[in-house]
Amino acid sequence: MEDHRNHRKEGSCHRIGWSSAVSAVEWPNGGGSLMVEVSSLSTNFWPHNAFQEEKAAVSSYDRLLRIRALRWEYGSVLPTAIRFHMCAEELEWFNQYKKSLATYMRSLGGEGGLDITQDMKPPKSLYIEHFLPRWKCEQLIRQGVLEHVLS
Amino acid sequence: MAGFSDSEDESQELMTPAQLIGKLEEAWLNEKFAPELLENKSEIVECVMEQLNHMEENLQRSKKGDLRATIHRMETERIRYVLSSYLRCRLQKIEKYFPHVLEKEKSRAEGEPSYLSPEEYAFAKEYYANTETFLKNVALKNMPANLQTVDLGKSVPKPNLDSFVFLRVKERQENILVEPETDDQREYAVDFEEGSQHLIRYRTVAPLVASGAVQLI
Repeated sequence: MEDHRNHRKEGSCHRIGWSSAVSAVEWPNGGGSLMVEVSSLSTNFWPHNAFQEEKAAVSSYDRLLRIRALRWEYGSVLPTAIRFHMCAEELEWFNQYKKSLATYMRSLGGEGGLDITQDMKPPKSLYIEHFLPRWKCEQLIRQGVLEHVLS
Repeated sequence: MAGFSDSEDESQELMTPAQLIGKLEEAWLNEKFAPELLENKSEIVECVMEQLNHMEENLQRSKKGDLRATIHRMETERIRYVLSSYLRCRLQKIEKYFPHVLEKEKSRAEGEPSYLSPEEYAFAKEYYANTETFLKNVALKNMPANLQTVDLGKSVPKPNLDSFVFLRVKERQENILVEPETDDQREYAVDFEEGSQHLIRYRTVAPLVASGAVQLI
C-alpha cells in the first residue's frame, strides 16, 4: 500500500554540504516540524510500523548531529532562518549543548579557558611579509632566517 | 623552562618549551589517527596553556612592528592551532562514542589511568543526559510503549579498533603477533625495529600507542 505522504523515493538521500546549511535541517519531506512528522508516522494505516518508527528515531538523531555541527559552523547564536526549521526540543538540545561546551572550554588551562571553536585551520603562511630596514635584515637573510620577497 | 610534576610521585620532569610542544604534537597525531579515544594528557594541555599565556604576555609587552614579535605571534598561533585541534579531536570522539566512553570510565579500576579529564567527563555526562532527554521527548513520545526505552549503548556504534593505522617505531619491539587476514593464512610475529614504519591494524598496537613505544603518523 503506497504511502502517499512520503514524497521521497526510498533510498534517496538528502546531500548536506556546508554551503546549504539551511537545507541541512530541512526534514526530508520538506515540512518544517519534526513533531508533526513523527506523530503522523505513528498514527498510521498500519498498526505499529516498526520500520517507520525506527526511521523516525534515526532521522531525529541524524538531525541532532547536524544541529551540533551548526554550533561549530555558526557559533552560539543561530541565524533566524535556521532556528525556524527546528522544533522546541531541538532548540532545547542546542541550548544545553552550547552551555556544556562553554563550560568545558572555560575550564581549559588556568585563566579564562580556550575557545577551541576558533583556530579551525592551521595558520596559513609560513612566510610572513614584513617590512624592515635593509640594514636590520641583512644578517638574517645571510643566515637563511629571512628571505627577501619581491611582490 | 616548562615543568610538570606528578604530585603523587613528587618527581618533577623539566622539559624545554620545544620538548613540551613536541609532546603536544605527538599526542595530537596519535589522537588524530587512533580510532578510539586515547588516555587524556591533561598535564601536557595545562603546561601548553601556561606556555601560551606566557607568550601572549610577552607579546603584549613587546614593541609593535618588532620582527621577533611577529615571529612569536606566528608561533603562538601554530601552537594554539595544534592544541585546539587536539582538544576538538577528543571532543568529537567523546560525542561520537558517548555511551561507550562513559561506560569505560565507570568500569575503570582504581589506579588505572583515566581516559577522560574531569572536565571531559562532566561534558560527556551532560551530552548523554541531553541526548537521552531529546530522544525520549521527540522520537519516542509518539511511539507505542514497547519502544519507549532506547538502549544507547546498543544503538550507538563502537569505534572500529580493526581499522588500519600507519605508525613509526620509537622503541624497538619484538614478537608482535599479527593476526591472519584470510583463512589460509596463519598468525605470525614481526619485530618492530626502531625508526621503521608499518601499516597495521590498530587493535594489534593499541598498547604500544598508549605506552609511547610507537607513534601514529
